[in-house]
Order: sequence, then C-alpha cells, then structure tokens
Amino acid sequence: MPEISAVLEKVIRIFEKSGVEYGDVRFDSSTSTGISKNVAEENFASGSIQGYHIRVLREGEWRAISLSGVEVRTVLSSVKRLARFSPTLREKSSYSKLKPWTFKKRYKCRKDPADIDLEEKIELVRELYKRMKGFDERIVNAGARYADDIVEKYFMNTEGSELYYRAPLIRVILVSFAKFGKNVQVHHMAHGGFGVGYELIDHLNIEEDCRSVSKGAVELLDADRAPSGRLPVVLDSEMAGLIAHESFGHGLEADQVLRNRSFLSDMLGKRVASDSVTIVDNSSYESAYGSYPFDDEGVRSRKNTLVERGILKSFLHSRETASSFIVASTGNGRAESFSRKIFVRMSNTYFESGEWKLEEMLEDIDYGVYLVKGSHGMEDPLGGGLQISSVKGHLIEHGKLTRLLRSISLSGNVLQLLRNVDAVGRDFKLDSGTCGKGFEDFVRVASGGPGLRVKEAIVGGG
Amino acid sequence: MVARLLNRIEALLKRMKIGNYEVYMQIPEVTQLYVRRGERELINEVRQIGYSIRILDKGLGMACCNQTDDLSVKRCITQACKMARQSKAEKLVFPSQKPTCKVDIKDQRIWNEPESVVDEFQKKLVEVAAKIGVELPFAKIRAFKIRSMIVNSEGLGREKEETLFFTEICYKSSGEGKLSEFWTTRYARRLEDMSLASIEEWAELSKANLNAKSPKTERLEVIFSPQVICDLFVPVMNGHFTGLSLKQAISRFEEGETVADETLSMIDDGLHPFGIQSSPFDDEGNPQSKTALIDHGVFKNRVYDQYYGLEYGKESTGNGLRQGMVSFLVDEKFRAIPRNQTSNLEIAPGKKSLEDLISEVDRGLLVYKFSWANPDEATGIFASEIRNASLVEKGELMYPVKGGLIAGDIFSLMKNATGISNQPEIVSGETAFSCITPWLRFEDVQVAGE
Repeated sequence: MPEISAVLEKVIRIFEKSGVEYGDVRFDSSTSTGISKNVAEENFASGSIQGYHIRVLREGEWRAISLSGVEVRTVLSSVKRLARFSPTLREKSSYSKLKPWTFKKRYKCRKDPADIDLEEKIELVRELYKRMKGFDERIVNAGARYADDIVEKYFMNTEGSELYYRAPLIRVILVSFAKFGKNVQVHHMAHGGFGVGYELIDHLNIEEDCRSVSKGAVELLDADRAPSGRLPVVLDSEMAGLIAHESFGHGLEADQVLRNRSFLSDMLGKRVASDSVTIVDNSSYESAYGSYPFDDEGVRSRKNTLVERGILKSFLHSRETASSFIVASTGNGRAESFSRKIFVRMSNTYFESGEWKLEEMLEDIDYGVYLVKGSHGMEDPLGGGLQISSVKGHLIEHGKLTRLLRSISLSGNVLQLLRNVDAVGRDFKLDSGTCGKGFEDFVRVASGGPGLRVKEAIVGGG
Repeated sequence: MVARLLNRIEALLKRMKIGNYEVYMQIPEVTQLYVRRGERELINEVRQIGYSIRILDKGLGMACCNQTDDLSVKRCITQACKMARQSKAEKLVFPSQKPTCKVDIKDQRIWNEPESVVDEFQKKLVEVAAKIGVELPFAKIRAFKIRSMIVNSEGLGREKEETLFFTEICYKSSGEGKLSEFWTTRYARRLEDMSLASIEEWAELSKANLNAKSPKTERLEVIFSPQVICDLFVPVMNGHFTGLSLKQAISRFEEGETVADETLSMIDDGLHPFGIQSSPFDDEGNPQSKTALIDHGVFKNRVYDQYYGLEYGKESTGNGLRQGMVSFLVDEKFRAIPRNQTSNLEIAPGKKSLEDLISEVDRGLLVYKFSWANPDEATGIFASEIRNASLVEKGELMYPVKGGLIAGDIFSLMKNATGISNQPEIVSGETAFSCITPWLRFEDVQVAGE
C-alpha cells in the first residue's frame, strides 16, 4: 500500500514545518476472519479495520488524534490543527531519543491464512466441535473458535524512522462444558502465534487436544473443592506465567513507577525472589503470541531480563518513561489499537527453566496443593497482592498427587511468594492470551515458563 | 455524509441483488483524557465511522469495516455474502419495524461539550484528592457521543444518539511507611451518576485501607456493594437467563423453579432511564423492554434476541446486543456480532437502609470491592481477592480488611440472601455488564485468609 506511506510522509512534513519537538504517525490495519461453533450457533465474521494514530510533542506536552473512515485531506487538515495546539501544562514530558532506522518485513509463512479457503477453516472448526462434543454424553456444549488476522503496521517519525511489517496472527480456542444434574464444569485450551501461518493448525494434535479438553471438563464433575488456608503449593507452567505476568510484571511497567504506584519502585538491584528465579519479557520470541518486530513507538523488539537469579534488573519502558529514567526504551510501548493511547505493556513474559522434575518437586510435600491450568488473574501494582486462579488442581498428599480439585485461587503477596520459590521445573511452555491495562486497553501477550514449587501460599477453593 | 454512506451501502446491496440484509452503523466521537499524578498526561480525540453488514443467504454471515470508499464497502458486502453462503442454514428473519418506548440515554452536556466535561471531571478528581488528603496517581476519562443507525431488508430503520462517560480512577494514600489505594472503573450515561459523594467515598476508602488487616479463614455473613453485586451476579445470570443459554444446555434455571431466597426479585430492564445498556431498541433494531427474571425467588422468564425468540416461539425481548465478553464495547460495537445477552440487571430494593443491614450483623464483612470478581459464567464459582472491605462486629464497622479471598458459588449465594438495602444504584461492572442494584447481604460465606 504505497499510498499509506505517502500519507505518512506528508504527516511528517507537516510536523517538520510546524516545528514540533517530536511527532510520529502510525497506520494500523487488521484484516480478520473469525469462525466459531457451539451447540447453539455457528458464527462467521470478517473484519477490515484500519486507522491512523498521530501524536505530537510540543513544548513538553503530548496531544494525539485517532482517525478512520476519513479522506486523506481530512487527515492532513487534522494534523495541521494538531501540530498548532497550544501547550498549557506545567509538568513537561519528554521521550528517549532513538537513532533513525528502517525496517520492512512481510513475515513469510508456509501457509498464509489469507490464501486458505474459508471452507477449509470452517471445516476445521466443525471438526474440532464434533470431536469435543462427541467425547462423552455429559458434554452438553462445546465451543471451537478459529481466528486469523493479517496485521499491518506502518510507522514514521520526525527522527527519520520508517518501519513496516505485515504478519499473520492465528488463534484457536477450545472449550467444553460438562453437565451432570445441576453441576456444570468447564475446561479449555488455546493455541496462538504471531508471524506464523496456517501451518500452526497442521502442527496441532487435534484429536488429542479435543479429547483432553472434554475429558478435563468431565473429570471436573467429580472434583472436590480445594482446601482453604496457607499451604505448600506447586504451580504448573500456566500458573507460573500468570504470576510472572499479572502479579509481578505489571509492577515493572515504568509508567506505574512514575505514577508512584508500583510495589517495585525502589527495588531495582535488590532481591525480589529466591535465587532460583529468573524472569524475562521477550517481545522478539519467535512465533510467540505476544511478539512484534517493533513496538507502537517504533522501538525494535528485544529480550529484557527483568529478574536475574532473584535480583531485580530492569523495569519495562516506553520512550516516555525511558526518558524519565534516563535509560533506553525496552520496546514495550503498545496500544490496543490506533484509537487508544500507548502504554507500557508486557509482551511474552516468563520464568526461565530450572532443573527440577515434577515428581521431585512433589516428593517433599506432605500436604499441599498442585494448581493446574491458568484461568485468570488480576494485577495489584501498588500492593503486590496476588489474585490468580487455576481451572483445576490436585491435592498433594505424602508426596503424591491425589484427589482432583476444581478451581483454586492463590492469594497473598507476590514478593513473599517469589522468595518462597524453592524449586523451578525443567519444563517450559508459553500460553497465548490478552492483557488489559487495568480493566481495558487489551493487547495480545503470552506468558508461562516451567513449573514452580512454593514453600507456602494462601489458597482458596471456589 | 453518514446518511449518504448508509444510502450508498443499501443501494449497493440492492444492486448486488441481496435480498436479506442488515446494516448497523456507528459514528462515535470520543474525547479521551489521561491523567498522571493529578496532571493531564494526554488528550486523544478519536473520530471513526464503522459499520457491519449481516447477510442472510443459506445461513448468516457478517463483515465489518471502518473505511468508507466504494471499494471497501463492496469488499465488506462480498465478505459477508461469502460467510453467509458457507454458514449453516438458519431460520432467522431480520426484525421488522415495531413501536419503541422513549428512553433517556443522552446527557446533553456530554453531547455538547465533551472537552469541557472531561476537563472539569479531572479538576473534580484533583479537588477531591486534595480535600481528602490522598494522591491521584492516574485516571482515564472518556466522553463518548455516539450516533448509530440500523436498517434492514424488512424495512426497519432506526437511529439514536447516546452518550456514555467512562472513568478509571486510582486514589492512593500513604502514611507510616504504608501504601494503599482504591482503584475502580465506572461507566455512566450521564455525569450525575458519577456523583461527588461517590468519588469522595473512593478517596476515603483508599485512605482507610492504610490500616487494613488480612481476614481470617472462617465462614461469615457478608454485605456486598452494588459494584460487587454487578461483577458477581451479572456475568453468571447472563449465562443462565437467556435463550442462548437454554439452547446451549448450560442454563441452571427452569421456569417456575425456586432459585433464590424469596426476598430476591430481578428484572432485565432495558428501559431504565440512563441505564448503561438502556436503549429504545437493541442492536438488531427490536424494541428493548422490561422482563421479570426472578420474582420472589422463583425463576419466571428468559430474555431473547431475534434468533432465539424465533427458535423458541417467543417475541424478542430486545436482548440482541453487540457487547463484549470481557470489556465494554462502546465506540466499536460495530465490530461485534449481536448476541443474546441481558441488558441492565435490576435487583428490587428492600426496605432497610445499609446501616440497618450492618447493624444486624454479629460478625461479618462489608465488601466494597474485589480486585476482580470474575466468576465462572457457567458454574457460578468465584474466589475473589478482597481489595477494600471492613470487618463488622456486633453491628459496628471495626477496621478495614484487605487481602484473602471470598469463595463460593453464585447459585448458593442467591439462596442465602439475608438482607437487601433500600437504595439501588446504577453501576457498571469492571467487565462488560450493567446493573441497577442495592447492597445485598448473604450468610455463611467462605472467607480464606490467615
């Protein structure tokens, strides 16, 4: 789309002529297909959503506009008005300088989702549904969802950077509902990737995945309620990911630190976890769902080690927060879409693997809980409080996994929990998801790592 | 321009000989103000036109777009046709024009002066912070003015103008080396539903939490705030009150069954003045209405959209909504498929004041806010972290409580209601839900703490 680049160039020329301190323009385009099926409905939808996000820094004050569905001359006249705004703020903002660079990449995949027939995608969803629903008569409903998206981003700024990428995004979500009497239980699974094509589907073990989701739901019908109180716990990789992301990672977002709202504000260089813990945010992780080649401020993606052997090494930064801390941006400035503000956001956040096997982690526990499969979590950047829940778990008795337990929540303080991690598994898995900045502004992310053992934590059964 | 675009889309649909169609269009204008440490951080103006086209051929297909040129419109129609041809056969008929009720959904001040409104609200937040002696680390403030239109091949033509106001606020307190906060989000149709009294209460709650203690593990009587009720009840009721949930075989309720304490009555009120999901018509064009859901503990009716109304031989109750599953869709509803959902869940008020409810508790918790309630829609199970609560002993508020979990399931809670306050509030949940509810009290609830 050369005409888009031409519009972006015109925007930058206007900024240059108007003498703004800094300006950038981003054009986001998403061409998506979504197919879902459950016992009640089949829904097929496609979308083509595009828009400009244009922002300017004038005398230390930011202003932005988001536009779609308007002609180019309207975009340009809006930019002229934006570039002339009169700053009024006392507190001035800035941005970390970045050497101009150029980037142009069309992600190559073996099977571009745009080239796959709609019929094939529909057949896939129907097949997934059929397998889940047919697993057992107690499966009263199953939901299969396939979504692909061709994401294109154009970026230019007054520093001279010119960036572009086109990448496919794919996600498959499986959910099964089992019912016996009034007891309804749910189990799920999700796969997702950035920069990968329809070959992601070829690599799935559809039969095993569908069976596992439905079997999980049926088994939960007979699961017990988890004990409540302070107990030793073992977490699987999904639950570890929820801790890395929700409970810990949000406190590392430097905008929270600048708001005086992070429990980690004065912890740089200090011990925040046991020395077996290393936590990373890696936006360049190949094919992971939270990856990107550059962030929404034009900063190249990279691997950032946040905690190294228990010591806090770095916060996550946008260009604005990096300027305040006099460091380089970590490439974590992201927006939900062209119509929302850029915030400091995580990408793929995970614990690095250790040496332990699951059986070894269990064997020293006389009575505890093993939490399996992440359900959801919520951040507490000020207090460092924990709220994460698993879909299910097992009781640990005399070093062995015994009774199946339904939904278990973990509460308490994340630093206490991380300092109590005394074993890190040798396994590794990343799971795809979305993350809100608070209750809104959702971006795609991944989280995970290996399993963890925690000496004790507060658990509660739902 | 908007009317011309709509005419162009309809003309193209007719030229392409498409007999069954629906066009939903939104023209949102959003004024966003972001606040950091009490100061304005950024103003972002959003201008967008978005539309979705649903076509009924063999089955139903939908495509959405926010570009207005002829090529994009044609591509959108072609995509919707392609989807409709592949979809399973449906017996859907798009709604025809029916009379609607007038409902107040527009705040004239937000409509006319969105920039002044967000600016004044920021000042109000800062003034409250200064008055109560707390900090305002951040706030998001958004004023929405939205025109939307629906036309379809059955001759339906609808148009409305509405306003919404959103804020996400964090008040923070510090003292004696301790930090605490009250952090919440709210939607409202009009400014007066974001009252100064509520904002001051939020600031006070942040301060109170400085002295918060962890709860003990025990079973207690609990009193939930309207926002907690919204966050706990609406997602689960939404999963069990609809025609969709009946078809999905996950609904726990059967008509005539006693599902709650006899003091509990609920309606789906799509017409409540300035209710967050109130509207004369739903997102398919059907008139919104009031539907009795639970009457004195007995399950009465479900809510239906066009599709499930036809499926079960019922009139649509106006519950086909283009709404998100997690976060509210406001300016980008055109991207969502209409789903059978509740609109505003209204819980009938009781006769006692909140003070009366507290005074009757021997030992319990008054819960203002969870970190994120997030119950499981199907099972009703929740285990939510307490962010702002107070311990109640012998009818008196004793001290603030934070941390630990309250765990249980919504269906059991409904049967254990012991009190309902007399002052309902219009509240939004922290996810995509709307409620008009008083404070509710429940007995024998599990608290997990130290």
